[in-house]
Amino acid sequence: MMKRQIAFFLLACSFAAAFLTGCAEKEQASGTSFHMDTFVSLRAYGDGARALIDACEKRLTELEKCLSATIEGSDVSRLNSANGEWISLGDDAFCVLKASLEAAELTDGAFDLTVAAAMKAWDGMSGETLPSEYELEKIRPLVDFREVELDEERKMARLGAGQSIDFGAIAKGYAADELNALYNEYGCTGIIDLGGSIYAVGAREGSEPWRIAVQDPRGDGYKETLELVSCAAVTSGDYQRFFERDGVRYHHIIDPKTLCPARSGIASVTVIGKNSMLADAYATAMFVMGAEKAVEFAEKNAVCALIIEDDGTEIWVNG
Amino acid sequence: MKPKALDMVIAAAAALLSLLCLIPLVGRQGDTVSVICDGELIYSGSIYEDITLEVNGATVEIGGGHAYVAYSDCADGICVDMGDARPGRPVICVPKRLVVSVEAGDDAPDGVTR
Amino acid sequence: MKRGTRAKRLAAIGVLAAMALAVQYAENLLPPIVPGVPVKLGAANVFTLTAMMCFSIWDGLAVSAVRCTVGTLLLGGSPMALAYSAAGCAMSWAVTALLMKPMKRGMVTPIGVSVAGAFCFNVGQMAIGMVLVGKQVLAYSPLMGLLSIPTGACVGLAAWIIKRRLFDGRKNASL
Repeated sequence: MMKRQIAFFLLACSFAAAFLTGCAEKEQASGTSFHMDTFVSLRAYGDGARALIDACEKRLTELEKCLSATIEGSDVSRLNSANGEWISLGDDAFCVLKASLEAAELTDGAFDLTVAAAMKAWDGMSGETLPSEYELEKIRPLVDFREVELDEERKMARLGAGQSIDFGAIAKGYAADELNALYNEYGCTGIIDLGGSIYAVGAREGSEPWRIAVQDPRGDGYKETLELVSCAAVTSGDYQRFFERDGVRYHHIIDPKTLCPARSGIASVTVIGKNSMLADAYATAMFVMGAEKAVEFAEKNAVCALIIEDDGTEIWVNG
Repeated sequence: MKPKALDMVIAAAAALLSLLCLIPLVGRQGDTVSVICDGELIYSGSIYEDITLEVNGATVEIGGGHAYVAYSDCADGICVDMGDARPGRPVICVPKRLVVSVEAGDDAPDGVTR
Repeated sequence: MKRGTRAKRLAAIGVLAAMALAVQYAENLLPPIVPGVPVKLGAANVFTLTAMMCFSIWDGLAVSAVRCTVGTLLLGGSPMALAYSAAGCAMSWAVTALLMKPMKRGMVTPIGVSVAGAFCFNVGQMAIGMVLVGKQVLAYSPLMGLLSIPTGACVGLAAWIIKRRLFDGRKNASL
C-alpha cells in the first residue's frame, strides 16, 4: 500500500512541475507570420490563447486570398480584370468595398481606392521609373471612385472600364477588426499588430491600459505613448515604403488628385478608434488632405487622431 | 520496501527548495530584452524594436514583441527549441553561454503603431 | 562491503560501468520529453547507485567517474560539458555516499537516497551554470528541482530491483 502512496506522490510532483511551468503566468500565446505583404505579430492572453492564435492565422490566410490584389482568383483581382463587368463578391470583399466607397465619399476623394490605376504608372513604387506627366494624365480619368457601382442585394460590383482597385490602404484595418472579433469570441486579451496597424484588445493585466507607442516618423524613437483599452491605432506615414531619387522622397501614399505621392506637409497620421478599418482609411485620407483639412475633417466626424507634421509639430484632434 | 520518514523529508525538502526558487520569478509581461553572452551584456532594448543579432554563432531575433534564438550552431539546439523568451523563462544556450531574457521594463510599450 | 572474490567484484563493477555508459549514450539520443526543457531521466545513475548499494561507495565513485568522463566524451563533449557533468556527478555522489550508512541502517530507502542524489545533481549543474553562464540559469531550477523527485525515485526503484534480483542471493538487512 505504501508503494501506491509513493507512486502517487511522485506523480503529483511531476504534475506540479509541469503545471507550474505552465501556470506561473496566465496562458499566453503568440504568433508571427507574413500576410498581406506585411509582418504580422499576434499576442494573446487568456484560456484558449493558443487555439485563438491558430484561428487568427487561418482567418488571415482567408482574408488574404480574397482581398489581395496580386493573388489570382481573389475578389480584387477578378474585379480588376473584369473590364467593367459585374462581378460577384464574397462577404469580406463586399464589406470592405462598401466601406471604402463610403469613406471616399466622406473624405471627398482624399481616400480613393481606384488610385490603384496610378500605382501601375509608378511601377508599384519600386523606384525603377518616374511616370511622366503624360502617363499620369492618361490615367487621371480612371481614378474616380464614383465610377464604381455596387449591387447590395446580389453582392456584386463593377468598376468603370479600365479602372482597378487596391485594398492596400484599408485591408489591414479590416483584418484587425476581424481578428479583434475572434479575440472577443475566445475571451482573450492581447495585441494585434499587422505591420503597424495595432488593435489593443481588452486591457493589460490588472486592468491597466495597453501602452502603444507612436513611431517618430523622422527618427527611431517614439513620439507619444497612447493608453488604449479595446481600441485600435492605425498610422499612415511616409517613412515605411518609399524610394529616393535625386534627393526627393517618393512615398507610397498617392494623392488621388495629383496622382503623385502626397506632399501635404504631414509626416504621419495616427487615427485611434474602435473601428480599425475606418481608422485605416481615414488615416490615409487625412495624410493626403494636409493638416488644415485633416483637422476639419476629424472635428466634423468625431475622429480622434494625432497628426505629426514634417517639422515634428504634433496636432491632436479629439484627444 | 517501506518508505521511511527520511524519504519523505528528502522529497519534501527537494520540493520546497524548488518552489522557493519560483518566488522571484513570477513576472509581469516583459518589455525589455537583454542579451548576455559570457556574462557580458551585449544588447538591451525594447522587445518591439526589430533587430537581428549574431552572437557567437547564434542568431537572436527580436521584434514585434518576441525574442528568440532563430538559429544556433550548437550541438543540441535546445536553445532554438525553447522558442520565445518570457519573463522568468529566459532562453539559454549553455554551450554558447548565451542568455536571452525578458524583463518588465516600465518604460517600454506594448506595441508601436507605425 | 565485499561480496565474493575481488575478481568477481571487479568484473561486476566493470559491467555496471559499461552499462552506465551504454544507457547514458542511448538516453542522449532520445529527444527530450518536452521540447526546450533540458531535463533527462538520468537512467545511467541506476548503475552508480547499484554499485554503491551492493559494493562500496568508492566502487560507486568509480562507476560514476567513468560515466561522467568517458560518457561525456563519447557524446562529443567539450571541456565545458565535462565541467557540468563532473559537477553534477560529484555533488550527487557525495550526497548519495553520505546517505549509504543511514540506508543500511534502514532509516531511508534507496528511493529517498536517489531523489537526494538526483536533486543534488541538479544543484551541481546549476552551480556551474551560474559560474559559466550567469544567474539566469536559476530560472530553470524550480522545474528541474521538482522533476528530480520523480526521476530520482524511478532510478532508486530500478536500482533496488536490480540489487534484489541480481545480488540478493544471500540474506541481507531487510529493506
